[in-house]
Parts: sequence; structure tokens; C-alpha cells
Amino acid sequence: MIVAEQKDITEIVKMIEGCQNILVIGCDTCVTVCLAGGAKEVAILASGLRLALKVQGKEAEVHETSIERQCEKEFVDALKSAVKGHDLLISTGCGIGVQTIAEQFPSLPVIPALNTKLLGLPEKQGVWVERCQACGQCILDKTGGVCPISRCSKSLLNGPCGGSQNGKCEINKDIDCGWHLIYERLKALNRLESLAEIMPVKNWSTSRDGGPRKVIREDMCL
Amino acid sequence: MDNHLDSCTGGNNGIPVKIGVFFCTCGHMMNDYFDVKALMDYAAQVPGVAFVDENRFLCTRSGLEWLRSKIVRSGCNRFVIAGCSPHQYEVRFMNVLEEAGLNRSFLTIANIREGCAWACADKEGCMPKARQILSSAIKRVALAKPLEKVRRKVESSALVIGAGISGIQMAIELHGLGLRPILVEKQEKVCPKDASFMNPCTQGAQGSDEVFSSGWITQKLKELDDKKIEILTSSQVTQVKGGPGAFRVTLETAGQEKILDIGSIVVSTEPEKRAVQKMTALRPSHRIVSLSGLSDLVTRERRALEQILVTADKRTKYVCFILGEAEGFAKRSTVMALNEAIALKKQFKAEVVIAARDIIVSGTQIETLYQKARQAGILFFRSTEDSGPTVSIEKGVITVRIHDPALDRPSAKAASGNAGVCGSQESEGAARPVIIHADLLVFEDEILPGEDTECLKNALRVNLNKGGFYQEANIHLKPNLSNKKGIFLAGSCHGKEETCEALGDVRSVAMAVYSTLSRGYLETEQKVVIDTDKCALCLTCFRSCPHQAIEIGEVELGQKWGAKVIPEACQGCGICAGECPAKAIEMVHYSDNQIFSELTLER
Amino acid sequence: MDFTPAIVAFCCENSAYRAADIAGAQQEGYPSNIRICRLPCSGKLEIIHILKAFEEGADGVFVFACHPDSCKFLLGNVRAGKRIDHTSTLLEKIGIEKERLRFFFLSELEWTAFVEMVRLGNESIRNLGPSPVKKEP
Repeated sequence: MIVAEQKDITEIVKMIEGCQNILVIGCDTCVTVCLAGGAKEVAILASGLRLALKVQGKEAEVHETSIERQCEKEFVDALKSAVKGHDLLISTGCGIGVQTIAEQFPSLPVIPALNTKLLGLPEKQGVWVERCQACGQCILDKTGGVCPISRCSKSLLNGPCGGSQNGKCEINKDIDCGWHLIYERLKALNRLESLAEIMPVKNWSTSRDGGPRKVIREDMCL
Repeated sequence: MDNHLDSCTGGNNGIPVKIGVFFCTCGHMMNDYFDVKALMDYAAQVPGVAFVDENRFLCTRSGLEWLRSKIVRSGCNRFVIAGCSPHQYEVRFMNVLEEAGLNRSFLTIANIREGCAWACADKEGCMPKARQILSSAIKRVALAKPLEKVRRKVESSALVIGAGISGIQMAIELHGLGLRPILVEKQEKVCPKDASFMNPCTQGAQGSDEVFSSGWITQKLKELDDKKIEILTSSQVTQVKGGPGAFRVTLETAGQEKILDIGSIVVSTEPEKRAVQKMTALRPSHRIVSLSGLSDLVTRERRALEQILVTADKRTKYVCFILGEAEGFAKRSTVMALNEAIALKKQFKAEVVIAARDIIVSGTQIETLYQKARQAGILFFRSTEDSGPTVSIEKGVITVRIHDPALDRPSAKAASGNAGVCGSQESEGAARPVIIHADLLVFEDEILPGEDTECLKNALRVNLNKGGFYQEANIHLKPNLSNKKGIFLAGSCHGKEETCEALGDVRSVAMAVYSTLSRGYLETEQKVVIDTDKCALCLTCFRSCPHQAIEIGEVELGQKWGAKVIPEACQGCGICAGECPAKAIEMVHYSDNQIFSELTLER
Repeated sequence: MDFTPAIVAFCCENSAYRAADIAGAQQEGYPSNIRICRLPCSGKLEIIHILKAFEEGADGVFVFACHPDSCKFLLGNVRAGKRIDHTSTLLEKIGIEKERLRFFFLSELEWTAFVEMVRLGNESIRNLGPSPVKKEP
């Protein structure tokens, strides 16, 4: 799941300066589940902005709505009538949602209300941790189901850096050493010998280093 | 305000809202505070209000009768009663609505007596406040949605987890009430873990008919057998779904999975015991035992005990009990120690000393037991937290030093002149320890939650308290209920200390189970509704419901997944509605719009 | 100062609402500008309810919850406390003094405390003056 976090409201207040008719658009999928941009947060943000504007003595209207998934053109298109009359859109979707809205409504400025943070899971209610970096070349089969790319601070492929202590990363004592986890897991699976295998240099071109990526499923293309 | 108008002009499923407002003048008393007639005129002009009337005493029988006839004749479908606090007669008025064939949720009380007339510090503020209370009540009731009632058939079976003393007694009591108990035991055989758990309340001391001994167990086991009570041994509960009246319990029975439909669940597991730290710090010796170890010696290894307490030289033997070293369960230790002390004194003519922080006598007949111990000549010393008894072993001699604060006073010097139990010559200062050369030293046990508590807690999804025992829903109001309705707690699994108390517990749990299941069905209001289309399946409500009344699964059989409320388990706090990030959960009687409607300020 | 603040008091019906009732029944007056909003539990109170109250022109919002560890629903007051903390920060960033939002623990029987809290709270809001939201543009 994509995990995002709401921007500081003061930052959003600055971004909406000069606008008269604002629409806050929520997304009912990932950002609802990570408690950042669902219907509830949209209502709070809209109300907060209305209050902030009134405090500043400005007159502006803030409306709110929410759609199923901001990352689908069809869902965003359905906003057409709702968007009418607004001079600024605020998206509480992830970065993808903001861009879909920007693409579908080229004449309207759209601003993000969230910072898209990571691909991960809730460790417990209210705490989310990273589990994937979308590197485009999954090696979880070799590492006992623990991802060294996202869970090792240095994304090392052939064992720990040597800086870890008591299973914790040298970057921060609160972070588990990814390679320690991999070792423990493989030990439990009785597959430690797989660590002896040297992993070749990773081809990062499937990750961000190759520029913007694209997935094509030829048989599904209409 | 808009919402309110919407619903008045047909937003409510097309049927226009017609509101009837009834004033109760509380025997004209209200007229002393404000002009009721003017308030009635004010109410009459609020959009949506179709009928206004007053009565002197709505709460009386004739008043209620009057209300019922007015409700029927007025042709209104929503009602506001302006009078005393909702805590006085709201339920009664709601019942009248129900009798008149309307949903009980279509009523809002405007609290203009306690909330306004009596409470206003300034007379001038009284009338505007009454108007404001009235107008929010009218707006609120216009937005009311019906509270649906759910009736569900309940199972007559009750699962009793843990076949200890409480568990066995529980099953027998439930069987006697005509229910179908199923006893689950983790071990291969039903046999209460430890005889010492039975020992505390012997006949005579407790004045009870029941004699707690191995005979008691044999008799109860026979009773289980005679009544053909179903017993599942080598079994553990692995998963519990559903709510009161209709639990679906998954068990692991001798390696096999078994699914049962159960009406109520009773947890009656037994706690564990551990030697106190003070005892484990000493070198192990057969002369140093725990209370439960002593019970074992008394019942099973009498010869070993005789070797310690009877010798050829006829020297008086000293037995010393040290109590108050463990957290909690002090009453249980007190009773056990008193019983054992009296027995040792009588049987072996030993000199018995009890050093305790506190002798707790708050239980059936424990005071008598204490007096009996005193009459038998048992010596009591008080120890304090900062100067507990110290124990040393030199050349096989166990020496206990007790600092009793009562003996610090000069007048008490003479009191400690017993042979063997003698005032110290060692120190001249204020602290004058009593020194005992004990032949047998007895420590109390530390009582801990059973080893499987954590596991069972996760299966049942109930809370534990700080000590790791099962937590009650409310220690005063619902002392036998866990945080989940339908799951009850009996005996020492939630810290009941001694057997008499535990058995009392069993009786009240049996009655509670009976009252839940005896009618064959449960009727509950659906206080919280979830809009499955909006539900994002984020699990927030599932995790945050304090009563585990929310389940995630197929909303209807074969349909898509979503969160659903178990109305029987829901207690109506609204925490889930407050947490839901998708605004999919609504509390019927406290919807967001209703709360917002109360916030609009009259200008 | 000739200013009567508008104050919304969210009261848990298991404690503060009853305390307010008793205060009324004891004829112990408290300021008439306190508007009491009954909740089944303080855990029902949402951030948006508080913000909406300010939007509607409240000068202060008081929230009454049961004492720690004595919520009828175990966690309601804890949840309310966390939401209040969050809302306070939000209000401050918006430009509304966080003192306008007050959180109190109260039990049913502490009606004298209720009156005291409401009176003092009312005074403190009066001293703060009208809510900045109500500034004329």
C-alpha cells in the first residue's frame, strides 16, 4: 500500500493564497487506509482551511468531495461537474492522484495536501513502515522474504555493511538491520547456505536510474 | 441548518418531517423561570414543527397516557419533549413512542429544566438559552434516523474454559440451570492442578457446608459424570468469532480442529504459582517451603514433615510463615497460612510464628479464622515494607529477624521474652528485631496468570489488566464480564483470591449466562451502522473497538468483504465512528449531522 | 469587558452531562452561554466536531471526559485525549489560540468541580476575547 502523510496545514494555507473557490478532493483507496486523505481527513482539512482563511480575514469558499481512486482517469473525469466554478483544487491523494487530476483538468491549478512517503504496511495502528522500493527486479526469493533494498539502509546485496550492532542499523538504533533479519530468517528456514552465493551487481536501470518506467501488458492493450 | 430544512421538506425518504413539540411545565414550576407560552410560540414557528402542546406532569401515568394519545392524534412523525433532563424519563418517553408504533429514535429531549431553568446563573440568559436548546433539539430530531432492532436466536450452550475448581463448579451450575455446558481442559485429564488451591477454606473455619479436600474433587467429578456434561480434554481454544448468543469457537482437540456454536463463554482458567524472590534467593533447603509446598507436605509427604517437626529430643519446634512478599493475592495467602498454622500447631505442638505485612480478614469468616489462630497461641508479628523480615542460614540453622514496629516502643520490651523467640541483644537502637531459629520456614506463593493466558486472550480478543489477569468490563458494575459481551470471567483468572470468593463468582456468572441465553433469543438495537460501500477495509474500527464488537468479513454471505458490527456485542460508545477514515460508520442516534445541528449558534 | 463568549461544552453522558444535571438540580448556576452537547462517550467526539463548532462561531470549546481508567467503554477518554492533542496543534497552526479548546476530566458526582471548571473556563475565554474566526473581513 502507498503510505502518505498530511502536509503541515500552514504550508497548505500558503499554497492557497489568493484563491477564492477551493475544492478539496479526497481519495477512498490507499490514503484512506493510511488515514491521511480519506473522507474524514478531507472534512478536517477543508474545515481547517476555512477557519484559517477567516482568521486571516480573507473571504474564500472551501468545498469538499471524495472519489474512489484518484489514480484512474475515469474516476477523476467524473469530478467534472463538481470542479466547475473552482479556481483551485487540493488533492489529498498520493502524488499519483495529484498528477492525474492535473492531467485531467489542465486549466486548473492543483496542489498536493499530502507528502507521499513510502510503500509499506502498518506495523501497528498509526505506525507505518517501509517494505518495498519498487526497484523493478524482485529478489525476495533469495533473501528469505526480507527485502534488502528497502530494509537495509544502504540497499546492500551481499550481507551487512559491518556497522550494525545487536541487530540494529548504524544509521539509527530504532531501525532493524535488514541483513540481520535476513540472516535470522534464513537460519530459521535452515537455508543459510544460500547466503554463500554472491549476488551479482544489481541492474538499477529497472529502478529509478533508468528514467521514468512503464509497464506494458500487450495482451491487455485494447 | 440546511440539513434540517432538507429533511423537513422531504429529505427523509420523501416523507415530510412533521415535528410535535410537547412542553412539560413540571407543575407550572417552569413558569417561574421563563415564559412557557412564549417558548411554545417560538417552537411553533420553527420550520418543520406541526404541533405544540403542554402538560403539567408528563412523567405521571396520566401524563404519559395524554402523551400517547397526542402522539397518535397529532399526526407528527418526530417529537421533542421539552422538560427535565433526558436522564430522568427519556427511556420512558421513548417507550411511549414505541407503543404508539413509532421508532424510539424519533424523540429528542430538550433539557430545559436541569440544563437551563435551574442552571442559569443569570435570569436574563435563561430565556435565550431555552430557545437555543429547543431549536437544537428540533433540528436534531428532524435528522433522526430509525434505530433498527435485531433479533437473533441464541445457542443454549456455554463453553467453560479451564476445568479447575471454578470451571467444574461452573459446568455443574450451568447444567442445573438447564443450559448445555461444555467443559474445555488443556490437559489430558480433568484434575485441578493443585490441591492447595482447594485448601484455603476448610470446614469449620469457613462455616460452609462444602469441604474442600480431595473428597470434594472426587464428588464433583462424579457429578460431572452423572450429569453427562460434555468434557473436551487436551483441547485449546484457537479462535472465537461472533458475539453473545452466537459465538463460533474453533478448538484444537487432540490435534483435530473442531468448530462449535456457543451461546456464552466462561473463562475459568487457573493461575500459576511461583516462589517469591526472597525464597529463591536463599539456598534451597527442605526446611524452606512455599505455602503450596507445605500443603503438598501435609497431604502427600507427611513423613517428611514429621522428620522436620518431630524429633526424639522433644525440643519445641519453630515454624515461621513469612507473608507479604508477593504482589497481590494477600487474602489468599492469609487464609492458607492461617489454616496451615492452626493445623501444625495442633498436630505437632509446634511454636508457630506468622510475620506478615498485613493480615487481610475481609472475607467470609476469615476474622473468625484469625481469632482461632490467636487462641491457638500462634504469634503474629508485623513487618513493614522497608524492613521486611531477613533470613540467614548458618550451619544449617535458619534465622529469621523480624522488625516489628510495634516492638520498637519501650513498653513493648517485655513482650518479646519468649524462649526461642527472643528480643535481640544485638542492637541498642530503636530497631529491636525478633529473632527466630526456624525449623520450618514457609513463604507465600507468588500468583501469576496462567501460562496460556496470552494465547487464550488473543483467541478470545479480550483485554488483560496490568497484572496480566483478565480485565473486567467494569470492576464495580460488571465485575464478571470481560470487555467483550458474552465472555464472562469466573474465579482466579481475573484475580479472585480464595475459593469461597471464586465460588461466589461462579454463581453470579451462572446467573448472568442464564439471563443472556434463557429466552432463546436476543433483541438488540443496531446503534451503529456501517456503510459497506464506503468502507475501505482499513481495519481501524476492528482494531480500535474496545469491546471487539466489529468483525471483518463477508458482509452478507457470498458478498464482498467489509467491516460489520455485532450488535449484541456493541455497547454504543461510538469510538469506531470517531475513528473511521472513510466516514463509513455512523452512530444512529448521534450522527455527524445531528451533532453539527446542535452547534449552530443563534445570532 | 462587554463580551459574552459562545462556548460549546461536549459532555460525556456518563459523567459530565450528569454532573451538569446535578449542578442544575442543586440550583448551582453556571453561565448561560455554555451550550451543552451530549455525547454517548467522549470517544465519539471527532476533530471535525470541534472545528465545526469554531466555524459556527464558538469562542471556546470545552470537552469533558471521564477520569483516566474510568471510561465506561475502557478507551473513550484516551481516544478523546489524543484527538484533543491533535486538534490543539492544528488550531494553533490555523491561528486560533489553543487555549480556546479545553479538555477536562470529570466524574458524575463532581458537579461542584463542573461548575468551577465552567466558570473559570468561561472567564479565561472572556479574557481571550472573541474568536479570531469572527473577525470582520
